[in-house]
Amino acid sequence: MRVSGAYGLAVWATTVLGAQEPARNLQISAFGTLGLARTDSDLVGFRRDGVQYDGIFTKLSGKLDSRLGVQASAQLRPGLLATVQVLSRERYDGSFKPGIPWATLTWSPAPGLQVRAGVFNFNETPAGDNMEVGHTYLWARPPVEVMGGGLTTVRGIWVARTFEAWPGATLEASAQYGTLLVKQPIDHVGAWDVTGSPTGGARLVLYTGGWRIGAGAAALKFTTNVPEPIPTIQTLLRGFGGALGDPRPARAADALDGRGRTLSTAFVHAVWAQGPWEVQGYVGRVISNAFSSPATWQGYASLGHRLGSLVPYAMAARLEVGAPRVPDLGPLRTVTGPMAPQAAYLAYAVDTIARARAANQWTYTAGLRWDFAPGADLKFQVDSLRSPDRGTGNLYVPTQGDPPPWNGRLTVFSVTLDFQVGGGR
Amino acid sequence: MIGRAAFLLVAACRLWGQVGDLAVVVNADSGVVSVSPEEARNLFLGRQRYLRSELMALPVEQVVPEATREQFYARLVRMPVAQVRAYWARLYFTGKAQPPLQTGSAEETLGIVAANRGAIGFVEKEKLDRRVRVVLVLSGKGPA
Repeated sequence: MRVSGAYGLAVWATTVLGAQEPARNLQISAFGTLGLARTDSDLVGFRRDGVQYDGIFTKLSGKLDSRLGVQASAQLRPGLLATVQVLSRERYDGSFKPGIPWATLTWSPAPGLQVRAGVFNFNETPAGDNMEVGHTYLWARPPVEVMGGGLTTVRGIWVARTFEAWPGATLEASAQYGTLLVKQPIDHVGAWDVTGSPTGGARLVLYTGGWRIGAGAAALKFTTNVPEPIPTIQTLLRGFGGALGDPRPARAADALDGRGRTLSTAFVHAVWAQGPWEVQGYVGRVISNAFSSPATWQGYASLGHRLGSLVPYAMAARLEVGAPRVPDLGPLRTVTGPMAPQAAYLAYAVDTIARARAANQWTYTAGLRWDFAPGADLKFQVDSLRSPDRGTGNLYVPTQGDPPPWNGRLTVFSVTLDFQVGGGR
Repeated sequence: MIGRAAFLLVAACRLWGQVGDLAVVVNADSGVVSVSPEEARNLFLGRQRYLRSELMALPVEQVVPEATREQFYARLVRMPVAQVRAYWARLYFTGKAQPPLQTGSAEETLGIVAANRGAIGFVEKEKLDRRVRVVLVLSGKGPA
């Protein structure tokens, strides 16, 4: 079914774009990861990104990193490539129901110009757009501090122009615009469907020698509201504000809105990959006026050194989330009488929502990659996560209400087998 | 660890010596008379999709014997083949580009380059024939 869909896309594109004959070189290929991982705590769950349902605990689990993708691609005519990908991985609802995260037409109409349209992954980090393909990067998974957001699948267009910056250096300028195709889990509540929210950005990447150096910016505007119980909490806050004759509870209710809020990011990154060394670093700043997405600094530095088929590597990643902006609830916190329990519950709910995003954390990673066969590797990795203020914003908390008695430290042990089949010509 | 690194270095030097000069070749009617190492790097890494003569490029990669391919990438981009393979997986599985067309021999490479105006490939210099034009030589004495 999927393959015939891809072939249909190929034939459609061939017809629309005027090629003289249908695709002759349809290729089917696959990629995937078989992963096993566990942590040393049952108080918080570790997840690799913001679209996984919940986390893993002390029990050995295959769901964190395991995934399987099948890709059909066809060079429809010189300069026109069609790609459709079906991927099964853990989703926002805990299932592994396959989806189509990638379906693009890539057109190179003139020297130095490339246009890509369709459904694709838009992520500004060096291992961002290929984060589902484990064989393409050094680690068992990209750093969650940087790539944990999960707001990356878009339906849109990407245009890139390459220039010779100076002899031996190529500059790629690109811009993209689209709308999100993402559902994010909200722990114990359900999922926030942010599909349709517009996002765009621009990036410059310089290639010279073994260097790849990039900088850019992107922005996103949410067009859907957060799910229940937030709307009910907002209604109650407005009701209390009216009853108390004070505007502050209603302003707090407005602050909880998701719709209309914006999120923007600026970033720089550098990768050195030449000879036995592979070094990369990234620093990003996210600014937001959404109560659900506070401002953050995020970054990582990674170093690997190849010794034949073995690559030992190390990485340090950092996420710093701004202090929670707890709305001023005014007299709501001091209500007495018969409505006091409801008022206290509302104040508690707002405080809990504010606290849920706190995630000032470091992760120190050490691992070994073994390229044991063409297109296949085995990785052994240990991550030590430190959260001095015990913020759980990037983790899954299995209990509701007060924070768990977690000590702010978590160790993750992982083994992954990455493979790709096909992909050559 | 140091002993293993030394062993690998010696092995790499021996391998280097086994593969002679590598010639980067194009079709005689391509309109291209020379290619810089940077251009070749961009063409074989999918960053440049057209030849300088504005023909759509068709990179051709000889994968047998493996030592020829290893030496080509070691000299041109100083990357081991495993790393090149991972690099291409990134481009391929994100729909950006298709990897070079793979061949099993120098004869096959020469045949494809001779038959396609935009093709660019590499062969050991002693296997060249008159059907193709040499645009760059990657010396066996050291990196380009």
